[in-house]
Amino acid sequence: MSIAIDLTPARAAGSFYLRIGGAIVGFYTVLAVIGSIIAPYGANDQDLLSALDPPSLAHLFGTDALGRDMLSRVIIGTRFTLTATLVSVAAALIAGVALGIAAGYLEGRIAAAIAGFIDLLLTIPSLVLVIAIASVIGAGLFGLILAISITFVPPMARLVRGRVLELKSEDYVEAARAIGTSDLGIMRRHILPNAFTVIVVEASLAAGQAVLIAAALGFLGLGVQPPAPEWGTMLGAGREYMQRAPYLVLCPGIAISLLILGFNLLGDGLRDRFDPRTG
Amino acid sequence: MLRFIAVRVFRIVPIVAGVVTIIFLIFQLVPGDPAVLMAGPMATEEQIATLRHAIGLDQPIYLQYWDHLAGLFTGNFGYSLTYKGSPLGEILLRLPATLALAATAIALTICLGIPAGVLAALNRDHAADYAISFSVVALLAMPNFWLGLVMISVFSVDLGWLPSFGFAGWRSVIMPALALAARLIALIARLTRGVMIEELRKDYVRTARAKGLPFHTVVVRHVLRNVLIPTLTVIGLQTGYLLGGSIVIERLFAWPGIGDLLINAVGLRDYNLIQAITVLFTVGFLLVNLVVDILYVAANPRLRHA
Amino acid sequence: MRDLDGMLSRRAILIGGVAAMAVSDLRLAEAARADNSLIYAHSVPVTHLGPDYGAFLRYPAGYEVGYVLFDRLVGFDESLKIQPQLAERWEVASDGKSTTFSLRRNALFHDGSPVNAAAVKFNIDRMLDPKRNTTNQPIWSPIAGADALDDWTVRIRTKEPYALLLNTLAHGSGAIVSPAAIEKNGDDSMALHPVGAGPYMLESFNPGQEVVLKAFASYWGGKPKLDKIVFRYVPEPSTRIAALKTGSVDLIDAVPPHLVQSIKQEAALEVLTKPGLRPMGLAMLTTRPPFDDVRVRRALNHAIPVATIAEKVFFGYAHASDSPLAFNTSGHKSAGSYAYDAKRASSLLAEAGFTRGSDGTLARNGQPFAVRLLASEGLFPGDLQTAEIAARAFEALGIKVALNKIEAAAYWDYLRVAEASVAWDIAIFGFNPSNGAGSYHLDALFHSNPPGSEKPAAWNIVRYSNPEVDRLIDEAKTTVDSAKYDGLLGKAQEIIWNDAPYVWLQVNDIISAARKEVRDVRVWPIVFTIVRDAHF
Repeated sequence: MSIAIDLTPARAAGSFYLRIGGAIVGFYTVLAVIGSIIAPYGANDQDLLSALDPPSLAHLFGTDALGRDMLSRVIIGTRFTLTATLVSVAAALIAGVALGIAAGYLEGRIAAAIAGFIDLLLTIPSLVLVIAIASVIGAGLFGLILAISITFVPPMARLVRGRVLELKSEDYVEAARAIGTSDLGIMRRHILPNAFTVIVVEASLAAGQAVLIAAALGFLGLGVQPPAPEWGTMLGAGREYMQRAPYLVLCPGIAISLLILGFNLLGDGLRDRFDPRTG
Repeated sequence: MLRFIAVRVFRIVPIVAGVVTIIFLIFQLVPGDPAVLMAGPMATEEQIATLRHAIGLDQPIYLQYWDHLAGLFTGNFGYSLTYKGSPLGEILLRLPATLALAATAIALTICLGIPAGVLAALNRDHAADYAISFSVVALLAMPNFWLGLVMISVFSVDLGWLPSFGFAGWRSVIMPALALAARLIALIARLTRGVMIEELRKDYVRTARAKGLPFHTVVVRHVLRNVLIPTLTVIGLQTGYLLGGSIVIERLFAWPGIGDLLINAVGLRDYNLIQAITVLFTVGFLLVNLVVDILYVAANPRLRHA
Repeated sequence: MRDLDGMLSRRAILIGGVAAMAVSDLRLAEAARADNSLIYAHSVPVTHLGPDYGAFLRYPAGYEVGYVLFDRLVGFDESLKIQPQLAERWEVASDGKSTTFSLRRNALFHDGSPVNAAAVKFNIDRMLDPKRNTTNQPIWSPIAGADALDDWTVRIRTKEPYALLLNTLAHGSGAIVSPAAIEKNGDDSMALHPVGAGPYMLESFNPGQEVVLKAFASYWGGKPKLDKIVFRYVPEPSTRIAALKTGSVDLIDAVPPHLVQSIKQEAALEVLTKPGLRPMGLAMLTTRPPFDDVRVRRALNHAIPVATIAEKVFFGYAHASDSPLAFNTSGHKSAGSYAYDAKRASSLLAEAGFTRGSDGTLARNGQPFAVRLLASEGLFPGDLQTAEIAARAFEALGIKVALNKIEAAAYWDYLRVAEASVAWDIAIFGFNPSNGAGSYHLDALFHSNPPGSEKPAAWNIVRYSNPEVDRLIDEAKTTVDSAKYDGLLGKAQEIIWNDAPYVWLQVNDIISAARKEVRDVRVWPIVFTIVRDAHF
């Protein structure tokens, strides 16, 4: 009863998507690394006398209610969002791959139990699960990462399990088993490399989702503590000033959308390159 | 068919029980003494004890778990701090708002997403296809709350066309439903386009054309129907997204639904209510899936024994 | 294919049916407005309505509803002067220790029972029970008891002459509720099913969401002017303003200063402002080092540009404090000012033994100066922003600041806790003397907590203790002569100001806004927007 949504773009678009997506994600990664060096101001430098200044040469994205430079906050916020995204996706990846391979490759009760557990977690709508976990753990970077990664484990595990089940019946795996290769050896040498492409594609799309969820939590006020320049939180704070200073909502919104776009295009492009079946 | 439905319905019971158990376990992780936390600093020891008893926190964990499970199946959602008892009444009061929002979002998805996908497929690699594909990519990248904010800014604040908040008449549902549906519209447009292109390549289209049927007749009579089955199924399966998305959207538009209630409950640390709503959303999602599942098989009799 | 047709139409029916069901259940605000009802969108949710059990805690929304739902022996007008209400007249005994009230004979509770002397005595006794009346104890504890002299005469006795007895009775917690309803529904039933004697009675209450009151036809003052009043919780200021502009609500509170201009531009709208009585401040836990050192507390007072905050963050709708009391609180006296002077702040910290390390952080005896700064979001005007400015200013001095933002609805729960479990060093806080009296304000915030008490008796969350201040406050409370009262309070204000248990910030103006056709909305300086007399 699972129908994968076919997101595949026209084939010619695939490599174009890959390049654009890669460029965007690369751009953000560079910003995350050198952001605090190239930002014209500090993320929390206040200048009350120039509060709510509209965009100008001195402040390209304008200033917020405390006179903080929005451009600098957006740039420096990159590191935060990207860290939260990559750490939570990586954590989900490790746990999801381990669970997925175990559930797919092992046989018997344990595998069935793991698969059942994954399926159960999958039935909780992801944002609902994130909010439930965030409400239990409390606001902050750690809670954010934990909530997002827990949410991403089940879909990742399910995907990997499906791929492993497919691979398991392939001739070369059966052959490896026949010559007495150990389970771990088979997983490491045959299953993991072959499931790799699926995992990479999924991770890239999940990263886009993670950016979205982090921003949504920030917007709801469940994300990080101020004055951290988190985009969703900035957007939530800026909405009050929307009439007077719309750029406070526009700038972080565009930053979020562009990064999600990058991850989405990257994922689509990767899928197109790696996975000829869905061409 | 009846037997099939019975089997599916029966199968969902352990899944519901399992999910409820997992959610119960998540909420056991609340740090500190929930009764002290919930009663607040004004409370006397006596009041804390009363609350602990009312929630059942003075019982051993397995009894709490059993009460919780039994409570859900009897429609008593546990002790809510905010409502000084079962929040069932409040949940029922708010349910229509959430259902209206979700139903409108689904209707918008069907009315906008499918035609857009069909249009793109029929004009493949022409201007309309590019325009639609570009919009899809853009919509998938925009957070729904941001889209909602931009809409409020344009349609409420600048133009004054639509009310910006609350649950007051059909006009107030337009913006929240559109913001909620945007992502789904994009997904469905993309899916419809893909399925439609596949379908147009199939033999029966060529055969029908060879028989001399006009192209649009083939499309309307045969292709569209085959496109609609998977598309509508996917829309059904996306209710989980709709439910999750409605939380943020309800907050943004002060829409008095369950999602708004959830965020209020988080603010007031009404853990039992948060838990009840988490269960409600999950079970709602499972039930919609069940219905979609049954309808899907009903539409594809070949799958019945699969 | 047949099967599919069937499925599609069944699905369409299903979706259509759900939508239709939902729409038929809509609480249509626009339809409700046609029938002479007022909709007030306010910024804080109402969760309890009884005057007991600290129930009006979610300030100010609960009080605002309470002032319409309940009558009191006496009431405030908009400048907080006392007016007759359920009592037609009253007389103070010559020794000043009792006051005799003559009740009006035609007042009824919403359940039809009469508001007689027995009912009033019942209510006074109830509020004297510290278990029932938790938050407002300081203004009730001077009262000794009440006697019903006959059916329509009540005498209220005080332990000492009590200058503010009438202010207490006019206060939100002075609400007179129906003893019959409590008898019938239980001791804590007022929280969700309040039965009072005010001009409007409860129609429906959806905690945290909406309160609907309807006109009480048998009100002693005649049938009220409106049919209904709806109090609806709308947390977002921009949403409230947009709703006011489109006319889907008639009245809003807590207008952020930066949005006042956008309301003034609209011909159909009117801005209602009044200087507030709530001085904002950063509470410092004075019993915990390093805040037990007055030099440290004064240093932080010199670190924040309060005048600039008033001008730039509050757009001039706020003024820097000059006393622990707001400018219009009774007994206010200008007590001084802490100039914005980072150098002076640094030298005070150096005097207190702090040195700046090579990385710029302050430390004393190897211990870095690190504070946890607790801030609410959306509870007080500009609260989070002020906290962010303060955090930045303290960091500039070399203090490590961890800002901890708490949801507005849960914020109170962090403030008034046992000393050992206070999870902050500095917390943003503003106290609103809801009876308008300076002695109450100082008593609640700065009178020493009783020895051995874990939680503050009232709101002395900083654990400030100064025997001289205690004496001055105690004496002021029993002083009826107003010049002497002012003198005592003035002295207390100067001492407290110099002891600086708070970083004194600004006093905000209260800003509400209404559609022009709404008349006689009263904005009280104690942050309340009162719709008791409102009409179209």
